[in-house]
Amino acid sequence: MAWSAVLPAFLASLVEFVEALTIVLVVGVTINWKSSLSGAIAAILTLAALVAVFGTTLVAFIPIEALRLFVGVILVLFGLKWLKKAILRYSGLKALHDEEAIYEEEMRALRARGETLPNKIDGFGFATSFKSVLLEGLEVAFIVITFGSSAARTEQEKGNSLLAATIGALLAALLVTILGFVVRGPLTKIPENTLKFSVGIMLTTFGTYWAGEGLGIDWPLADGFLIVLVGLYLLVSFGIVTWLRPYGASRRAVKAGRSS
Amino acid sequence: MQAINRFFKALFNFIVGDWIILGGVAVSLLFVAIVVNLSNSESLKQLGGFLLILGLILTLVVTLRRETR
Repeated sequence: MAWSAVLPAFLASLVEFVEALTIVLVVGVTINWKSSLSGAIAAILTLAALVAVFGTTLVAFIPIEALRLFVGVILVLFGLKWLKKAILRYSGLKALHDEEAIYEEEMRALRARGETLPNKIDGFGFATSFKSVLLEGLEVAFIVITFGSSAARTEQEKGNSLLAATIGALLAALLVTILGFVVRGPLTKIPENTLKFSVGIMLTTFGTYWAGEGLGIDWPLADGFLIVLVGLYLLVSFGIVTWLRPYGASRRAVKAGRSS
Repeated sequence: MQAINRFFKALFNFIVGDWIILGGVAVSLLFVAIVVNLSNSESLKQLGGFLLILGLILTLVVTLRRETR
């Protein structure tokens, strides 16, 4: 079992599932569970078909070194994007992404539509649930394929690595679903920025490592260098947050001055 | 033509959404690829990993620096 694919796939998928589940819960609570769940199931089936066709093609025909470079680059781009946003939020230059605010906004929009349909499938509810699960699910599929394919050292290991990444994603799905049922509301308890920051670090770390391998770099300590990279990126990120905090504070002060 | 433009814009926004990050990563990778693949010196090849990390950190710093303005 390629454990190096389980944890990053689990963490990255967790963020996507939290976002998808928030919308599914909003639709379920405000319209009805039939629309919400049927939309989600339809999206999952669509995703399964997409992954079955394109996932297999991707894994079967692309050489592992080229794939490692490609996904490494994509992961670095994803990772730096997430890391940038998380750092901006920690430093106060950007408002914290508030799941509760999103939930309230969705609630208002749905209530504004008026009627609730207890037992019929509502088109709007179905579509809202479908598109959010499909979008977030595509991101999870992307994460599973990239982590699963890139964690394999040989062609023979690809199947095991994909399985490991799938297990990571399924564990995340299970955890978020259980949480959703337990809390029965939006998952505001999970500090989203902390998750995004951690995922940003993980994606950048694995992206750097795989892109480097794809370019022909032999990292010292082999896989152990991943831990060095995590530590390095954490250190740099905390340094940047410290550097940016005064800018965030002055921006807030300017805003407060304007509003008063 | 507009549909193609919209597609690439959506793809760009989905993956990165930031020209500085895209440019920084591209330049870093290109530079490291040249150093690693065209160099005959083993010590320069070893330096490739360090240069890649440095390039990515610099990219992050530059894009965040822009946000302070």
